[in-house]
Amino acid sequence: MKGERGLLRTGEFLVTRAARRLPARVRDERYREWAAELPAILRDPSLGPPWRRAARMLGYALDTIRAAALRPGQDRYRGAHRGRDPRAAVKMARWLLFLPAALAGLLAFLSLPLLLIYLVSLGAGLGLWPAAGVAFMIVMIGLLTGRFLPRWAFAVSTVLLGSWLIYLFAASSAGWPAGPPVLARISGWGFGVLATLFLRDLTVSAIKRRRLHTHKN
Amino acid sequence: MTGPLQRVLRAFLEDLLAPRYGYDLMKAAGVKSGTLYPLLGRLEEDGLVSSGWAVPQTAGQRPRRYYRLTGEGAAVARVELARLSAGGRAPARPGRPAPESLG
Repeated sequence: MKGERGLLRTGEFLVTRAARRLPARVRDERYREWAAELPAILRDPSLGPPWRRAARMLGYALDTIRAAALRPGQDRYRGAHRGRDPRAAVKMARWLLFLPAALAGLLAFLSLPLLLIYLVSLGAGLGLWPAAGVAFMIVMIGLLTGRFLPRWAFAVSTVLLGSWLIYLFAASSAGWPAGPPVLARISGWGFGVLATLFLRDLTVSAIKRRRLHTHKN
Repeated sequence: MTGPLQRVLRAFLEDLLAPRYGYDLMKAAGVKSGTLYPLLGRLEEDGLVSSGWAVPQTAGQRPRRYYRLTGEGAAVARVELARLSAGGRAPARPGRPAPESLG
């Protein structure tokens, strides 16, 4: 299946997030159990076309976060049918907000070179190297922020995304002449940070999984 | 006893000897992973379900965890489902959580 590896990595990322909520004594076992089901779902011919298998696999992985919800103060599984923990609901809401923002950031980050080429070709005065330098600096700042202040990641991402959306709305409705260059700068700065925070999370998860694996062997 | 628990128990009872993987149970019972795994966890804690790891025969595949009803689990499942079919309500068993608390 095309893109299977990437899909599995995304599923494993979600499963890792879920497993982190579990007590230490069951965490690794549950992670292995859930992660082992992902390829089985992705290759299940009874589900039909690849896109449906991919959606089912991602749905499975996402729902393990609900499976890992714990009743406060109790080392015991709490299913959805046992009543919801308000703190878990808040965490879930944060994730639902953060994930689209991070994905949008990643897309914008990846499309930045095309935007820069477009602006340079228009003679908008935004040099390629200065823009790349600024983006690099911001990526470094984002890495450090994510490294030392991981709890701020959500707040930073939300503020950046919100600012960008407000600006985009204002620029398009008012017809600002400086729209495209400023948009490029904000994309380079804001979405660079967003994408970095998201990639940082993926990297940290991968490192932790590898450490767990090494420790077990 | 909730609907998901009933469906999971029925899926187990379809073939008592067959090892059931989480995903197989999801398909057979029509429940999501967020519902199934807490349910299986509690059934296992209560000794009604046992689990193990199946080593894949094909190289490169990961070991998968399977579940089976224990002898006690099969007996309890049959009794509770029969009660439900008869329109009765399952009583709590001494030293065990009430069936409602299972799911």
